[in-house]
Amino acid sequence: MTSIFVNRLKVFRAERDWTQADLAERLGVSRQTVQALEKGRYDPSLPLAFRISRLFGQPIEAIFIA
Amino acid sequence: MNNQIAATKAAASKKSMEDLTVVLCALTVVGVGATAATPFWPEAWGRAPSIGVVVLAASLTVFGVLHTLYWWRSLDEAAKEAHKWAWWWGGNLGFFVGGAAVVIAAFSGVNLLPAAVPHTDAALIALGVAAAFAAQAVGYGIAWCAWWIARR
Repeated sequence: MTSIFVNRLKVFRAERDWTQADLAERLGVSRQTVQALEKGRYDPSLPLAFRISRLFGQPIEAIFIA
Repeated sequence: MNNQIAATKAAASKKSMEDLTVVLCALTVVGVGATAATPFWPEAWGRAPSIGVVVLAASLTVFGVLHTLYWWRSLDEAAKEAHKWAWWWGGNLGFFVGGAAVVIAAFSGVNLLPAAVPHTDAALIALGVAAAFAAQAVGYGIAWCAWWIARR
């Protein structure tokens, strides 16, 4: 169930002092989805990964580390 | 930009669902109020229902289809994935387990139909369809919950 990727979503979110609900609203997803992403229990689609990347102003590989 | 597009699409779908509900309420008034018999109704189909009933039945069908479409569009990708996973695994396993249970019960002589219902072929077929649907629905529900619990 756990992803093969490590992700730094929680770190980037904390740097901006956003709650999971804030991030979910900015990404256009539910809070449960953000929770699953942060815990590495759901791998985002490529379009969502790009949206996350653009939102944080970071390349995808800086957020999702194989 | 893409994030705004995603949020806008979801909001538009929710607004469409609300609009649909208003339209359905208006059509329900028509359905209850229009009591004249439906014209051009084929005699072979029996007595013509009222125009209101036909309008209401047609609008309920369209409402159901469009509401499902807008609801699906309003979901995010993880929610869609949960439903697809639950549909495949929960629905299929529920069908096989539930179907097997009904078949075993039937061949074991268990009377599955309530005593008050006439034991006709049509009633037994309806029971089979209902049992298959119920088994799939239960399996779907369990699988959907399991998908989200595993990702909390």
